[in-house]
Order: sequence, then structure tokens, then C-alpha cells
Amino acid sequence: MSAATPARRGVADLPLSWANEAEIKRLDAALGGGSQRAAALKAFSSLPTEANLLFTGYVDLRAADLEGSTLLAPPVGISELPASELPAGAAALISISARGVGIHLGAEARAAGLTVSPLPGNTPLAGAESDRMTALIGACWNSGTEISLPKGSITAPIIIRIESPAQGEALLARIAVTLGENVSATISEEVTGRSADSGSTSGTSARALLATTSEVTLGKGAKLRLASIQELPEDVVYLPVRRHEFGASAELQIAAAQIGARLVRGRIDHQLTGNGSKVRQVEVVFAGADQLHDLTTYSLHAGEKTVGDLLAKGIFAGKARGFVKGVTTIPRSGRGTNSYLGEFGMLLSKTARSVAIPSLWIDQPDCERAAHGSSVGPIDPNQIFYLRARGLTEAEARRTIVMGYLEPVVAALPLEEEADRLREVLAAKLDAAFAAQSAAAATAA
Amino acid sequence: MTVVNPNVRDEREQYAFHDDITYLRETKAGLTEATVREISETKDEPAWMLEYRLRAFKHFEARAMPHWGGDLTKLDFSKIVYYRKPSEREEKSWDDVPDQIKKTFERLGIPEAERKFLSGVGAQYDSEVVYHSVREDLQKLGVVFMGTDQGMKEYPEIFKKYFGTVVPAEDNKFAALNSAVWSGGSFVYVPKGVDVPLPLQAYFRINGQNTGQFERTLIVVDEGASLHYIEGCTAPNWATDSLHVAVVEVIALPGSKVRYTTIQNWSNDVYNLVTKRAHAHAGATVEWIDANTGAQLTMKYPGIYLLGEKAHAEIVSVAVASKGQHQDTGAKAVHLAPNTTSRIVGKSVCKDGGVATYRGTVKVAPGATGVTTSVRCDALILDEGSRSETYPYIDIQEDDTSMSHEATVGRVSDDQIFYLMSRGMTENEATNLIVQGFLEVFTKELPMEYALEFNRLIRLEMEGALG
Repeated sequence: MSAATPARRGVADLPLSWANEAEIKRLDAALGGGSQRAAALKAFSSLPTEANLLFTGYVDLRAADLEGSTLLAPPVGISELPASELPAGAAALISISARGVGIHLGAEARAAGLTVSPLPGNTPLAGAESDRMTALIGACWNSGTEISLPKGSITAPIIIRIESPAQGEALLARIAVTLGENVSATISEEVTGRSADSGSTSGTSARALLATTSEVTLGKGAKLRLASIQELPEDVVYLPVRRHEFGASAELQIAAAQIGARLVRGRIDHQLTGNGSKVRQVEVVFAGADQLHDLTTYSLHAGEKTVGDLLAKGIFAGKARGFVKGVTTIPRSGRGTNSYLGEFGMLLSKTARSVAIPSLWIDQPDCERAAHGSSVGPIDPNQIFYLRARGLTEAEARRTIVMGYLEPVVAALPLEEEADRLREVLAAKLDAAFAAQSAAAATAA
Repeated sequence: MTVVNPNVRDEREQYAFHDDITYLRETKAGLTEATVREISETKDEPAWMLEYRLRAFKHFEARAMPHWGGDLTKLDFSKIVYYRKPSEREEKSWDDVPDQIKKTFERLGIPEAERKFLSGVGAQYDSEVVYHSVREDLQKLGVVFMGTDQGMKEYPEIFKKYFGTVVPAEDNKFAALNSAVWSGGSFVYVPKGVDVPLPLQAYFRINGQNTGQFERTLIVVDEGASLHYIEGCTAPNWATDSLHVAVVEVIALPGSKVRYTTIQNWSNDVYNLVTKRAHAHAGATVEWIDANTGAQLTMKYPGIYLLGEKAHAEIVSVAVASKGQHQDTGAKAVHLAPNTTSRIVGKSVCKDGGVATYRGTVKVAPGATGVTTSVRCDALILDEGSRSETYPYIDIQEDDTSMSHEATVGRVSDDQIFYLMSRGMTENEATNLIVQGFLEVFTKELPMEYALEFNRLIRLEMEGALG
């Protein structure tokens, strides 16, 4: 591969020189899962990037400049981190990066029976046969961690810190979480990285790739609070895949913030198979500059009396785009379902674009509620006027309104320090977006 | 338990008959370039139209079948007869229409309707328009309402200026098919400032077995003028597939107002694959009021492109999907100019294994500032085995857009049924009433006679729903 200008790619093309059989052999030798990797590789090469015909018009992987990137070979096994790394108030720290997996379990976690171990190579990855991005991870995952809490519950959050690799490198990390019957836990995921200029550059123009799974299995009556803040540098390609399997009466509360990365293409699958299982999801997407956030949530209400309450809020500035899609499926078995899917957008610039496709697919008339709502609007000038009349400057007023719009998501984070930090990050990004906007307006004038 | 409401007569039988008619001309089943040439030759068309048809035919052949929407795998293009000519020419006087065809339409209540409350009536039988008339006073004002073939010949300037500009031949596979083999349809021109006080009505009838009906309607409403156009459709049940592929183009020039109402009640063996689109210029209002109760598969998404400032779009789309039916319907509003507004209301009912799909698009293009748009789509599922799907696409590229979208899916609530039953209704009557209320958003937009007719149709569809 020469460093010459790369050939123009189609919007759905994802050429990866390392997604091949030789690499899979190498990965099999180190981590196992050979036959499953081979099947997934086959699926990756034969599946279309977007298998759902509803969404084929909204695929754009042109920012995934990964040609010439290398698939990392992080150290196998799990190392022990010093106790000093454990953030105050946290039960455990699990750190996943190009340097391998490191952990530190606090006293509460150990007492409750939390185990963190390398993911067995033959652990099946559901969805790898039908979804191309899942298949990519299923074939080429080079990091695997299994987190299990079979009996005891933990009140303090388990921190999972995921760090993106350096420019030109690819990290594909699988994370499987299993909670036993009636177990409750809180997980706080921090997805971060260092910008290319401060990291080591390998002389390639390829971007960094971070692909992750979060394979959550909730036993009967289990309760999980999951928060995820993604603050990757704006040159990373991020492909998160989440799949949640629900036992009877299991509950998941998920709060996710997507702030960084150049390109995010994410997929969440809620498999509400257990009767009476519940999911509550709040997601915030804040994109500026040239960012593209492409997020799809599938909820399958297969069990009886399941509840799905999904809310996504997007803010798009600069030339950013957001494709926020959802499919709520209620098959015949899903009697008495209560489901809501809301997708809301706010555009802060004339060049930004917001696409919302909240779809419903319903085969069971006996439902308590099956609804979706969506709106896109600017900042209400009346609200600005109201706040200015109370002495705020225009910029403060706008910031207050946008922060208020995002607050339901921020407030859902389990650790107060995290919520505060997210508020700071959002406020900083907002100020930058407004500044860029005023600068553009000044140039235009 | 099926209770037959004495006030409801099942008159579907009335539409299910067919005539054993000898066609003056018909093409062989199947579609080739020769068929296209033959149709054009029969019609003695200008050369440019033949070229247009051939261009469209090439595109139709090259274009893949849509892989989304309904199941089209059983649609066999080679079995369809693409052109059937029932009469020599389009008549202006009802007395001149050939007897057998006249009888058909009289059984369907046309032109009785005309005498009562219409500004004009058109009737199409298989491939050709057999009758058109417009009230004399409107004719004097320059209102044109005739078959599209005739319109092409008599008003070539208007026709050539607008034909194919709203729905190009290459728009989709079925628009290409229509452009290649189109025949009949209505051509309407309303001159500047003329207000057509009563609706114009077109009536479409498929009679022959395996007939393809490809009407092409072109409506041009000039500046400041207004028009209400109504169409109705029926066909006998042949139990073999018929194909209805229409293209409707509406041009609403600045300040005009157009309402287009459809009550589609094809028999359950018809594939109804229709492209309907309007251009709304500055200050114009376009309304699609669209109901689909018939056909085995309908794929129809009436669209409005808001091209001029302050144009307004209104789409009301209702669908009832019963046994063996898939109603894949919806709406499309594309905002291309500042301060344009749109409102979409979709309502669907599915029962007895029917599938009702709402598929809609709202798009706000860069530069279309100050847009306000709202979408509301609701669905009722009456029993297990039926399916409701909702696919809204919302694509906003302007920062001061105000868009809202809401959708709900549910069943008829037991409380409501109980309430009505405690007031002496049977369960069936109660359900009927609730469904009628649910669809009222459509019914209330109709002239009263049509509203009564539509409610009767719904009651018929609902009879025995709870069995």
C-alpha cells in the first residue's frame, strides 16, 4: 500500500487489509475462537454494511479512513493495577487499551464475588451472522474480557475505562457482562483516548479504529445501571455494538453520551425476552465540526409485559450530521408491552443535518402503549428572551437552554462527579460550537 | 357471532360484476418495445411522445424491482395486457357512450353523481377514457377537463410544458412503466383566478381480466385558481392479478389551491402501485386526501414538493388492510423553500391478517428556513395476526426548522367497547363506531355524500371483524 492518495470509496465501503484469514489464524492462536472467527469473517465479507433496507439511504463510512491501519496484538491476559488507580467511590476498575487489560477490584467487589477474566475464545457473539459491524468484531477481536457477578450485588460503580489506540492502529475489544439472578450492579464506561498529535504516529494516514462490544446478560430479576461517556479524540472511528439479553423481570437503565470521534456507527440491541423485563435508555449525541454519529437502537419485545422507554437527544453544530434510527418490534408473543421511542434533535448551525427514523413493527394488538415521538427545533427565541430579561447574556442564555435540554441524560449518570464532568465537557463543546458559529457569521458579514 | 346491521347492505357484490366486452383493440399479453410502439401508433401520437415512451421503457427494463415495501415477487409482467381499448373515442354526451359501458357506470352510480353535485365527471374503462364532461359555465371560463390523450392533442403547449416535470420517467420502476405505456387519465387545467366551486370527479374502472391500467393524470392549476378533484376506483374480482400503475402530476402555480381526494376500492387482486406528486409554488396549498381500502398490495406515498415561499402541504392518508391485503402507504413532504409548512396525518387499521404500513418522509433542504412541519400517524390493530408497521423518515438540514412527529399503535380499548355496549350496541357496532371515529380525520374532509359512502365502506370492511 503506497502513501498515494487513496482511491475514492463508496459510502458503504469499508476496506480493511487485516480482515483476512491469515490474521484470524494469528488471533486464534493467541485468543482462540478460530471457527467462529472464520464464520464471522465470511459474514463480514458477504453482508451489506446496512442489512436493514429501511436504513440503506443513511450509511456513510467515507470518514472511515482505515486503509493501511494495523490490527494490534495487545498482551494476552489480565494484569493487576495498583490500588491508587481506583477512582474514589468506585468498586472496581477495568482498563482496556492497546497495552492490554488491567484491573483492580476493591474490597466490596471482591466480597460480592465479582470476577474479571479473559473471554473464552469460543464465546459466541450474537448478531455476528447478521450485522456486518458485529461480524467484523466477531472475526477480528483482539481483546476480550468477561465480567461476571453471579450472586452478590455491588452498589458502587464498576468503572470500565476503554482507551482508543494510536493513529493507524485498530483495537477490537469484546466485553461480556453477566449478572446472576437478582443481582444488581452499576457500570460506568469511560471511552477516551489521546489525540493523534500527542500519541505515536506510525507514518500512516489511517485513522485509529476502536470497535467494542458490550454483551450484557441479565439473569432473572437482575438490575443493571450502565452509563457510558464517549469522549474520543475527533479523529477516531468508533464502532460500538451493544446487545442486552433480559431474563424475566430484569431491568436495565442505560445512559449514554456520544461526544467525540470523527465517525460513530453504533448499534444497540435490547432483547427483551424475559417476561416483565424493562429497559430505560437515555442517550445524548453532541456532534460538531465534521462529525457523523450514526446510531441505531433495536428493541425486541418478545416477552410479555415488557417495558421499553428509549429517549435520544441530539445536538448538531458545524457541519455535523446525526442519523438516529430505531426499530421497536413487538412480535405476537409480546402481550401487554409498553414501549416508547423518542428521538429529538436540535440544530445549532445551518450546515448541520439531523435525520431521525423511529420505526415501529407491531404484530400484537394487546399492548399497553406502542408509541414514538420525534421533534427537531431551534432554540426557542422566547426562552432566550426570558433568560436575557433576567440578566443573562445571549451566550449564557443559549448555553443554559441547551444544557437544560440535555440534563435528563446527564442526571441519569450514576456518579455525581461523572455527571459534573460531563456537564463541563458539554458546556465546553457548546461554547466552542457557538464561538465557531459567531466566527462564521462574522466572516460572512 | 356476526350481527348484520340492517342499515348496512353489503353492496360490494354490486361492483364485482364484469362485462364480457369485445375490445376494439388490445395488445397481446406481455410487454416489449413493440407493445409500446403499438400503443403509441394506435393513439396516433406525436413523435416526441413515442420517443419519451421508448426512453421510459428502456429505463423500466433496466431498473431493478424495488426490494422494499410489499411483496412483488408474484407480479408477472408477462401476463398483463397493457392496453385494452373499449370504445372508439371519448364522448362528451353520456348518450353516446357505448351501451354496455354505459350500463356499467350506471350500475356504479355515474353520471348520476354528476347531476347532483359535481362540476364535471370523467370515466375511464380499462385503458381509455370513455366519457368526460364539464359544466358549461366552467367551460366558458376556460376550465379544461378531458382525457389526457385528448389533452395532449388539444392543449399541446400546456401539456408539453408540464408533462413529466413532476414525476420524471426515471423516477422509479413503476413511474417508468407508466411513462412507457400510459393511456387515459385526466387532464385538467384551471386558468388564472378561476375558482372551481364543486369537485371534478374521475372514475376508474378495470374490467378485463389481467388488465393493466396505466392512467396518467396531469393537473395544472394556474395562479390564484382553485380546484377539488376526486377519484374513485373499482374492479371486478377475477382472482388473477390486475395491475394499476398510475402517475399523477399536480402543478399548483403561485397562490393556487388544489385538493386531490382518492377513495381507492380496487378488488383484492389488484396491485396498486401509484406515484402521486405535486409541486406547490409560492403561496400555493396542495392537499392530498387519500384513502385505501381495496387492492391486494398498495404502494402509494402522495408527495408534495414545496418549491415556493409560504407554500403549504396537507396530506391525510388512511388505510384499511383486511385479509390478504397489504396497504403500504404514507406521505412525503419535501421543503425546498423558506417559510413553507406541512402537516401529515396518517391513520391505519389492520385486521384479519392484513398488514398496514405507514412510510413517510419529511425533508427540509438547506436554504428552506423557517419551516414548520408536523406528522401524526396512528394505527389500530384489531386482532392477532395482523401487523402494523411505521417507518417515518425525518431529515432536517436547517437550524430553524420546527418539526414534530408523533405516532401511536394500539387496539380498540375494552373500556370504549364496554361503554358503547352498555348503551345498547352490539360489540360489532361498537367497534365499527370506534373505527369510524378513528378515521374521521379523513371522513370530515370529504363532501357529505362521499363521507356517507366512505363510512358505509368502512362498515362493510368491519362486518364480522369480531366474528
